[in-house]
Amino acid sequence: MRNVGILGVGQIPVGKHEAATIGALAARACRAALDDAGVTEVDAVFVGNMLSAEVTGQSHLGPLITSAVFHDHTESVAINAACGSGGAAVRQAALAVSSGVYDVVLVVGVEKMTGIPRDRLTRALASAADFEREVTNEASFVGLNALLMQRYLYEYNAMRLDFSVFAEVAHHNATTNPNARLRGGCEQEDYLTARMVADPIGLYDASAIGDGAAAVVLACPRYAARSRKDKVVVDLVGSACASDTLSLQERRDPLWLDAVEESTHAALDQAGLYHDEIDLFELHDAFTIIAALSLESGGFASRGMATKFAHQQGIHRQGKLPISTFGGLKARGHPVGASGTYQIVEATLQLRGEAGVNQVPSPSVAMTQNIGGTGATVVTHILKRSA
Amino acid sequence: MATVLLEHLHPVQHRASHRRLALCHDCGRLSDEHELTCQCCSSEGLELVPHFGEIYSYTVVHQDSGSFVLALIRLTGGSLVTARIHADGHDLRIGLRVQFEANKSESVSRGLFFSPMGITNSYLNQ
Repeated sequence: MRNVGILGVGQIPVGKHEAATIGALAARACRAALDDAGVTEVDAVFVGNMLSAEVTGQSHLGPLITSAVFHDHTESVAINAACGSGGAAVRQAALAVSSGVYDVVLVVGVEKMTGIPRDRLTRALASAADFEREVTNEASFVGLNALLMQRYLYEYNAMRLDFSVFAEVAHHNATTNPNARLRGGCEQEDYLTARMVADPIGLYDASAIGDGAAAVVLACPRYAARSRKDKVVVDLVGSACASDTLSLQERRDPLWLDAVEESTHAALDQAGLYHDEIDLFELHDAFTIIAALSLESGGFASRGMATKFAHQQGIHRQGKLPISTFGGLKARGHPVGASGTYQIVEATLQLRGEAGVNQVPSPSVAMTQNIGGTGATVVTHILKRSA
Repeated sequence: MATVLLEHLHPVQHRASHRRLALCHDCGRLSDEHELTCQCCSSEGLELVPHFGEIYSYTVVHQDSGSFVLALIRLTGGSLVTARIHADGHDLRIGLRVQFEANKSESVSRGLFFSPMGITNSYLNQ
């Protein structure tokens, strides 16, 4: 299998883009990534998206986006792994290049979520859960994550306050990210006094929805060397995906995300790296409880100790393991099918040293992890700055 | 209150504790109808489970139309099921014993419902 290089990245701000079509949002991000890569043609386009068919009425995004950007007959396909769609699309694109089938490909994650009636959006999001076992009981995504957080607090004798650090750090990082949805910050008092959505999940435990698109150009080493002679190249050195039961009730242990464990270790093995060599982690903080479970199941923190890890080791930009360096899903926003590609874009900017005020000091290796459902699909990538 | 206590001491309740539910491990359907195959997915892999359990986790979900309690119930025997609980969230705790309720609602056609066991049982479990 060949190495895969990240040639170019592009993104649009996460926000309310109600006047723009989903195709237009994706095209903007694609053109930004192609400009960044210095590329005008690709061998294939991979699209990550979860909700479009249900909430915009537009399915079949592959040719819609490809024909708008390239005006030719480039291969294209859309990939749906719920909120893991962006990461899953990056993985399929990486496999296409790594296998030798293609030299240069474009991946775009895109989602439109604003301007949709709330109950319709809630129902569409719930389709990522197990319909027969969970949705028939009116389980929404917030509800399922609340079940996890409630059990966590009980099993580990933890307090809600312990989770505030995940919200505070993510929201702080978003204040200096012009592409972030929520830029107002979050203090501990804001976290504690915010209204409950589904006990014990309060407003600041949940991520912000929004419209968004982020794109990445991947290429084989020969193509990458020709194109970015004088620029920093970031390599994709690990790519892994694992799945678990769709429903929480069938999990071996609801508080242990087996697919996070599998996917993380597989990616690290491929990269030949250990946990302490990861300089930053763009994890899937759709909810603060998932951030905690990701750190534990991924092997960065001991079981039940994620919040203590966050406080003692530091998850802020100068800490031992910076997370959500541009705000994460939490505050940069979670346009669900696109979040996985935003993670790759942000990790790439960090490794290139192009993160501006949000720069983590001298990172060499970044991990990104994109999760579908409550841990049913987990896609992990490891990016490394080229020597 | 007194009526609830009498009902839980009545001999009929004792016989009812031997009722079993049919749990389909292939699709998750839980039914109090005696089935040989699952009516939902035709699986023959049905397990008879007691109709009691305890709360593994719960949450009070707040919606514009009102609140309800969503829960994961650990059935006696070990399986977890997702269900709603007919109760006010204030009276619940993880570990509370609950019992299956057949869904007789005309407005809600799907899903599982449990309700807290009576005060007598709660007292005995402390």
